[in-house]
Amino acid sequence: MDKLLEILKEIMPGCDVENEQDFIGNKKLDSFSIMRLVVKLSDEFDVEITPVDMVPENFKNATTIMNLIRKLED
Amino acid sequence: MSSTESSLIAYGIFATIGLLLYAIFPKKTKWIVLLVLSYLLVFFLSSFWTIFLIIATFIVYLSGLLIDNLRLKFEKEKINLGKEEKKLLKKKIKNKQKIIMIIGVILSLTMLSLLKYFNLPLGKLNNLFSKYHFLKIAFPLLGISYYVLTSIGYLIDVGRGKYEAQRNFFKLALFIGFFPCQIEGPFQRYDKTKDMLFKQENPTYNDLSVGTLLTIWGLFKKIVIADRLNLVTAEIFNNFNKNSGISIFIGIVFYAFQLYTDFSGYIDIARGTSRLFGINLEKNFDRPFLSRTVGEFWRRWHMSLGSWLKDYVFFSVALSKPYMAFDKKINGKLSPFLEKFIQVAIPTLFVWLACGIWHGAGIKYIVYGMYYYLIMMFGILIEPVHNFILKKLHLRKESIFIQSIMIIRTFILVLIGLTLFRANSLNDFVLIMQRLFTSGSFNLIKRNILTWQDMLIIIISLSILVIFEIVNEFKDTFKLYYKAPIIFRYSLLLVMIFIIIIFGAYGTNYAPVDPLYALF
Repeated sequence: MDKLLEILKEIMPGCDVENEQDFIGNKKLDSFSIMRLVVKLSDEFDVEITPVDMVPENFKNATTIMNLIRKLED
Repeated sequence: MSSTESSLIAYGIFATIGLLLYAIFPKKTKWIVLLVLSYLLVFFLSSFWTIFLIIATFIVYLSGLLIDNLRLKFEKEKINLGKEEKKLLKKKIKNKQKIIMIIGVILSLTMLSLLKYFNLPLGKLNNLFSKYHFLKIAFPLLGISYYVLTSIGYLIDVGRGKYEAQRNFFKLALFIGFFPCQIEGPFQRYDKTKDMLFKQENPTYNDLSVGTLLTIWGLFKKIVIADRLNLVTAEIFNNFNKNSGISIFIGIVFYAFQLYTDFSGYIDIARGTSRLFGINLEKNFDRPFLSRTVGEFWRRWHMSLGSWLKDYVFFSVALSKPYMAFDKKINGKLSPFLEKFIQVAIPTLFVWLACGIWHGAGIKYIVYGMYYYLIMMFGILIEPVHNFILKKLHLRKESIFIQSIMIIRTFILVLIGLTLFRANSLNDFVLIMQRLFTSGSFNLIKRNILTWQDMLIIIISLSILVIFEIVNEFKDTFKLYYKAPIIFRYSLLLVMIFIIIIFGAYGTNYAPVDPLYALF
């Protein structure tokens, strides 16, 4: 989780990434930043993110992103 | 009567008979009523060309089935395997599924391109078919871009494992051939519409009420506004040399509203009729002329095309292995701003190329796609400068003043794009743009191109439309309509029907206008 929080802080400077519940709804994460996040996640966690995973629910907050990574690692 | 008018009447008759049958038939057969109705209407309008709808359905049905059979094979075989073997088998199966998906997509795209972009002897075939058809064929290739792209979307989703394939050919045929979407879309998504299409329930009172209002509103936009604006736009774009700068400017603005009211009018009719059957199709327009940026405009204009391109072109490129490898290479080596820009700039280029080509063959449409692409990329690049200037001037981006300037700026950029779209050639586009700066007055009424009564109806109906759109930006007027007393609702519907009958631009004084987006 720490590694993920670090990445999120880098992508969304100035955002309380641990407590923010809706990155997309509260406009912290736009469609451009999501692509940057996806590249960093696949690089750091060695997972393959596919178009099917590209839904807002997966990128809502730190917990949902962590769940996505765990699912992809299995 | 023009082919468009007879098509609209045919559509109305089919929908009405369909509704009665839909209500009468037993629950389990309701989807069959929709399927038969859809195919009858397509056959009525495009005769033997219906064969391509069947071929498009068959390609994705078969490919989807093969992909699904591989999935079932994996589910069965994985039980007796260890973790590593399971991984290996999964990879093997996924590769096979991908190959089938790619073949299916290529076959569908080949059929589409052959029919749409190459000069096949369609005219001769059409004449031959017409001999055996009881009516003049209105639209031989009706809806082909819509049903082919809808079917490709379905196949890619099955290939990606988003959902299981539909194993009943006829149910898939209903999803791809559902009649309201056959003229100008919107593109359907299988996972979103399947339950509504096959649920076999009667529509609720609310469905009927909303469906009727939407259909009538769509007819108003198409018949009263769009077809009348054609009087001006046909003259301006075909004979721009004879017109002054002010006439051309008015013609371009009118064209923007003509395309919008024609296209969104048809979509409202499609959404309205679907709703009468209890099927709630997604929005395709969200008051696009009130957008603040060109990017936002394309999120609010022809939304089903935008989301199709995002899911099946943008993500296919951006998340592909070679592109991800490239992204990983530049990861951390550039400034965050540049990194972000490069990661989206290249996949977006494919989106706009596809968008241009979808609208038509030829250099004009590629330039059209590139025009929006370059504006959007430039917008992203100068955003930090834009924000810096606003900060220095102590202006808030959210203020009504700045927002209004942004809306006007976007509208002007869209007007230029639409002029390029409508001009008969690239050369004409340049000449029209030059002609904009010539002096003279607006003399279309004097030259009997349109009557002052037509102009008055245009001004009043466009004012109603613009006010309605602005009010809707803040409040959902459709919700207010449901809450209104029944007397008010029925009176409003009756008044609208009378307005369409009395002020509709049909008959001998008006040139017939085909659905502007039907043949893309």
